[in-house]
Amino acid sequence: MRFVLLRLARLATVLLAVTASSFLLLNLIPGDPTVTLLGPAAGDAHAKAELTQQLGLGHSIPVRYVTWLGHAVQGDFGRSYFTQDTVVRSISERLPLTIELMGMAEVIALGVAIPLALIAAARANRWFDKASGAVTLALLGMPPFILGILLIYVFAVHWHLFPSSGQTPWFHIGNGVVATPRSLLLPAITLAGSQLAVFSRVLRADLLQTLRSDFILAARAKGIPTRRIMTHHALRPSLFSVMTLAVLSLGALVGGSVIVENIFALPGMGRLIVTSIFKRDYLIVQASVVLVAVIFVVLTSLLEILYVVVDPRTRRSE
Amino acid sequence: MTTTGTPPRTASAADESIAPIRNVRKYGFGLWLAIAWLILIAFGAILGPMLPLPDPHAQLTGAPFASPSSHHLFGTDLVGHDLFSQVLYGGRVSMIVGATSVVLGLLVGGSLGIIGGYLGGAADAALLWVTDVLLTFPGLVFALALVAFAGPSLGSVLIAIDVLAIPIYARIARATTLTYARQDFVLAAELMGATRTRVMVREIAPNVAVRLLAYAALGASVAILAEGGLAYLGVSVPGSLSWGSMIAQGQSQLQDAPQAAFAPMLAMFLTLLSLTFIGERLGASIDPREANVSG
Repeated sequence: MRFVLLRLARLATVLLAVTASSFLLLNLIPGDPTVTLLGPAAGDAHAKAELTQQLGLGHSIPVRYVTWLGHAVQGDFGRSYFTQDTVVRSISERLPLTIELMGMAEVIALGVAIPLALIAAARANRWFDKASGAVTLALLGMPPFILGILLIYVFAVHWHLFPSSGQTPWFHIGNGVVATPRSLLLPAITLAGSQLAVFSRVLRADLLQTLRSDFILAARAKGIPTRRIMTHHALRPSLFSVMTLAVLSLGALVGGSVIVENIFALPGMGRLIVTSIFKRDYLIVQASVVLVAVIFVVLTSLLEILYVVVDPRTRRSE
Repeated sequence: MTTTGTPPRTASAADESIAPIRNVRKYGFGLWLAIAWLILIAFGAILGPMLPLPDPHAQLTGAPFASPSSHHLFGTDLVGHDLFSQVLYGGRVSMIVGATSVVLGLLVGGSLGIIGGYLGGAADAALLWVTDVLLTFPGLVFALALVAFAGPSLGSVLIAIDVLAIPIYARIARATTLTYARQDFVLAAELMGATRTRVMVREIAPNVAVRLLAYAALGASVAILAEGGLAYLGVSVPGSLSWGSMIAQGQSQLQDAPQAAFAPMLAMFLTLLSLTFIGERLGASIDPREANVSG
């Protein structure tokens, strides 16, 4: 119980730090939304002052931060400077698609990487290991804007198997759209590519480490088949680094989905963030960054609990 | 691909205590290919203007949509840009970004990490907190915001990418410093009355530098990849060619002139692959435990 309370207290301080620093960073970067909003009329000093007043941009950064935070804890993240939609509405329209995309990518990455690493480690330095080593190395050299366009060329332009852009709506969650898995397959593979490579290389290395321990030798001596040793004995204690990477790579996934959603013209969070940055729609960018940070902090806290479940050796007596 | 040139590896997992030394020799061919490619790209970027090539910005240097030929090594795009010349010039931004991120990472990140790791206390706590915050955020979103708000220019691109690169160098330097700070040769220097500055500069820094240099190749690839992403989204150095922006333009011509996207994609792929390959080999040669990571 005390453990949980401590966790919650830490969560709150980290969130405070993250929101404050992102607010500061975004506001220190030069650029004036009123200029973008007014367009040619920005030369009119009176109109500019009025709009600055209206958007609350006249106050100092700390004052704006406290005001923003006060509203944010009540679930009010303000309105877009441009569309007048509430920020919550804009984000909830886009979020389901991005979560679906990231979820599919993570499932593909882990689903391919774990079997790949198991086979490669079981037959270290044989042909399969070398082939998977070469393929994953090549994937590391392929950021989304290379892998994605390659996939579009092969599967959309050449063979017309998958759409090259956009998505097919499947069902709705609130006002957000969830796309059919088929229409998101190419984007998800694109996003999964380098994750998959990193996961399988790290897991292979950890498996080789585990395979040298005494309990594996004991299992071998008992005559347990290699296949069973790999899946039932070696895998679980080797999952540490991959679990950590899977959670910590959330930042990379967000960055990746910004690119992927632009390659495939998907109306998700990534595109919302990019267009909002170009328009200087601070409140949307701010809320998006906070959302990512919250999810990140919550996931890392869950990760620490997950460690204890996977590996009893980490259970400390408190 | 550079990997096809690697000779078959016969060492088994059992004799890997001596593997690192062997690896350097064994993977010599692939390593040389990777280094040769990087030198080629660097020379192309520097010597580009002196070579008898069409101006990369000139249109109709030949028929539009031309396939690769002796006149246009990589062909032309829909307005007749010479793609070979464009790829050569496009490497310049990548080279600058990669090089500056390594230099700043080593100098700034390295010294911050050593100071934090050796002194401990408040300095270390501050370093950990700042790098934690910087590493938590989705880096690309911040780089994008910084470059878009500050106005795209070479300066803002370099600042955005280098600031994001420094925390990783700092964390590696800190971790390495911690492993050396309690070793006998450091204690000996301290007992002989060496000042803290002298210990950090003369005893710890050389050891940390080896580890950081091994990461530098990977760090450069991360920086080049980030610039590529920014350029793909349309916020890199205006008026100058970049592989990322070329790929974005090529994407719209995929049907008629796939070479417009494939030429810069290939150049970027080989560059990232070479850097990753070199980085892994260097990592393996200084740390036997990491020898296993690469297949």
